[in-house]
Amino acid sequence: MAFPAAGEASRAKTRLDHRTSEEAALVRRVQAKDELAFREIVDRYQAKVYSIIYGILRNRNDAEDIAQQVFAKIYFSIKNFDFRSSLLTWIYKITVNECYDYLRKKRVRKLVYESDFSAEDTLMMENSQPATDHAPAVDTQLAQRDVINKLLSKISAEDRSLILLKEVEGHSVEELSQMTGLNENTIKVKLFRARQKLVKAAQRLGKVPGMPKTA
Amino acid sequence: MHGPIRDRLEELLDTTPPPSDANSHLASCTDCRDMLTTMKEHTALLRGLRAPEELEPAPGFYARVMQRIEEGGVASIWSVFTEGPFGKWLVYASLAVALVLGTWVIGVEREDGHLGQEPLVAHEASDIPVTGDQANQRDAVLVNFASYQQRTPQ
Repeated sequence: MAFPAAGEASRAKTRLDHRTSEEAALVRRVQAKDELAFREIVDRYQAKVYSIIYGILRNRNDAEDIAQQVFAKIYFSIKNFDFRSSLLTWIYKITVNECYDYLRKKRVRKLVYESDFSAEDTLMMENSQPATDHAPAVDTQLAQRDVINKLLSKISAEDRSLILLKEVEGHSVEELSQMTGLNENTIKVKLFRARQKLVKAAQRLGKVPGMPKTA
Repeated sequence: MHGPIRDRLEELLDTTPPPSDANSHLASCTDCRDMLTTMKEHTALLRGLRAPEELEPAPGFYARVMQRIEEGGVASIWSVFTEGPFGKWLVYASLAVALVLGTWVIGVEREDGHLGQEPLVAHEASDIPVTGDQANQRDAVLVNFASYQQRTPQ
């Protein structure tokens, strides 16, 4: 693989010490069981976490439930936070993982639920869906979101959060480098591999992006 | 995907149409063109996961988080063994001990002769006659019981 070599200057520029920031002090207070500091983390990141979840799931009830779960997880596992990445990157990873964990469980539940119905029942339910003028557009959007979520569930948690930080959060390669502590070249390689895995996952699923299969 | 496209992938995914130098390669390489098109489509789908705006959870969110923490905070005593690095090492240590014990038991059994010998055959084709002294008669009866088979009429 022949990505352009990153210079020493750019490497030094992108390496950020996450141990000395103001955020690190806040994390250390939470690690020392300071509840006010934890409240500050919740206040600071609740909108961000909630929006990330809503973006993926598009359901406010689920977003609220998963956001609570994310902060509970942060509370219990912040003692293991090692300052190698920024707090936001770490929280982002937990949030995205919780979303895909939820989608995976939901898919399993749906399979179990649907297996209780006969083919005739399923056909009847499908035909009873109300048809509206907006239905095709909404259906396409839902199907597209379902396709990309399925593809994202097939790649590793690390690849997934990196590609989502780039495309959904809109961070540049340089920003990602600062957030993760990796150099820009490594970020580019990781992004390329993650994209390649998505393409392979799409080929395995037989899905053409943007054109969901109709039964 | 070839070097000239791969090296500038992030830039190319954001640029439409691609810069002229990349375009000349894309015009002649179907693989790169197809791969770039698919990746662009994926990028468009990924950007569809953006929340329409920054949203806030309903008021009282912190209280609900703390309630959830309290509910999940009473950890089971077994969580010491199942979670964290200690649990992981405990699993590895248990597997190692099981492996050592298993190897030792098999070794000892081989030395004792329980493993590796042909099993004793109690079955006889026909009943042993119950004769001789009392001990012989008892053994013969026991062997006959052990090897009893119902005979099918010919």
